[in-house]
Formats: sequence, structure tokens, C-alpha cells
Amino acid sequence: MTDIPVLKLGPVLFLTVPETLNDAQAKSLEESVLVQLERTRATAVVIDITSMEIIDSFMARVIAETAQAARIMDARVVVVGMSPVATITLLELGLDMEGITTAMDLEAGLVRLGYKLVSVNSSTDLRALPAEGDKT
Amino acid sequence: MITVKIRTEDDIVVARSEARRIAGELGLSLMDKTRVATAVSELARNIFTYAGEGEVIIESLSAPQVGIRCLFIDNGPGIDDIELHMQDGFSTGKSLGYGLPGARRLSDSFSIDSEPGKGTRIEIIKWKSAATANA
Repeated sequence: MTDIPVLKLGPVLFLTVPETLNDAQAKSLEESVLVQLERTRATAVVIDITSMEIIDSFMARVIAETAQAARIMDARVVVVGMSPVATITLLELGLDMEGITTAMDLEAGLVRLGYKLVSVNSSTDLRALPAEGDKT
Repeated sequence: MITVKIRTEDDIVVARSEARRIAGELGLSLMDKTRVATAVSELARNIFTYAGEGEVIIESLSAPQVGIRCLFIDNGPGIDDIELHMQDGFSTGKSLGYGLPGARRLSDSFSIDSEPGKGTRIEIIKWKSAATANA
């Protein structure tokens, strides 16, 4: 299994947790985030868990520990893409994700961090950008 | 019926994917499929963490109603005080100890048979509930 890519946009790091996260990836997830935080001096991290259909206590702990570690390195963290079923399952497991900042999706997560996407060119309407895959 | 040998961490992923697939074929709701798969993930991880290896047997039930049964069998160290391990927050391993009580809450039926030195056998059942459109 390959490492999880950590993307950087301005002062924000983005990473998407894959649907099937094994222990090796989980370990690399936390390390990648911390190494990238130090290297890039980013000040915020968005952890996207949209593709995770199942979140068991191990995976919840990995996410919580990664968020905690990033906070210790002075970065703000928001977890985005929590699904209704994953939320209910986590609560039934007895995990409440206390202390973790969450947002519904990437856009809401960025707002939580105090950012929003703006166009630098008034003639560019973000809504008019071609969708992924539409490029010719 | 399908048997998944648990020897590596990747086998945990296989076990929960199979449970999810079979629960889906039986027509369980998205919510219940997720509950079953999460419980399987917790208990298969227990096998890997505490016993090193074991197996998960997943089968569909048709009587008294449609459901899915998962058996978790290992020859690991066993559990000496099951009551204690069924409490939230108790763990002797690296996990947070939510495995057993969490898996019980996610299941309709949960039974455990364990003896120190003889291994552990856990059975969980999730029935297909009557009112599950596609919640």
C-alpha cells in the first residue's frame, strides 16, 4: 500500500483518508502530516474522511491522534466528510470524537479554518469552471 | 458461508468487506450494513491484536428471519474476566478497549465463550429489521 498523499494549498494541508486504512498507512498518515507541517510551515490541516464507509475504534483513534499531534505542532485541524452512518456507528461504539473539530464538507471545513476560495480575476466565475474530467 | 483467516492487518479489511457485502446481499439497510462491518472490524482486530491469528466465519441466516451471523474464533490467550472486558474503556492491549462492548451495541445478539489458555469464540448476529427501506 502506498502512503497517503498530503497536498498543500497556501497555509493549509489536505489529506484524504482512504476507505481501507491499514495499520501501516495509519502510521504513515500521522507521520506524513507532522513532517509536512514542519517542512511547509502550514498552519492548518483538513482531514477528509468522505470515502471512509467504516470507521472502527482503531481508525477513529488514528484520526484523533493525528489531529491531536497536528495541534501540538501548532496547526488547526478540521475533519470533514463525516457521514451520518459513520457518526451513528461511532457513537454506538462509545466514541464521541470529543475535541475534534468537524465540518460537513471541504468547503465548510475551510470556512471553519477562516478561509474561503476567491477568484483573483473578476472575469473568472468559479462556478463556471469545468468539472473534473470535463477538460478536453 | 465464508471463512476469512485473520493473519495480517489486511485480513481485517477483507473480513469487514465480506461482512458488508453479504449484509448487502441480504438486503440489510446501509445503517445495519455499516454496523455489522464495524463490529466485524473491531472483533477481527481483537483476534489480530490479542491472539495473533484466528478466523472469522460469516454466514447468512434465513430462520427465524433473515440475518447475518459472524463467528470469531481464535486459540489465543483467552479472557479471564469477561465481565470486566465487557465494560467500556477496559483494555489490556493497545486498543482503547471499545472492541467488545462496542461490538455488542452494534449487534442484535452477542455471545462470548472464552477461557484463559483456550482461546475465544464470539458470535454476533444482526437481523434484517422489518422497517428498513434504505435508511
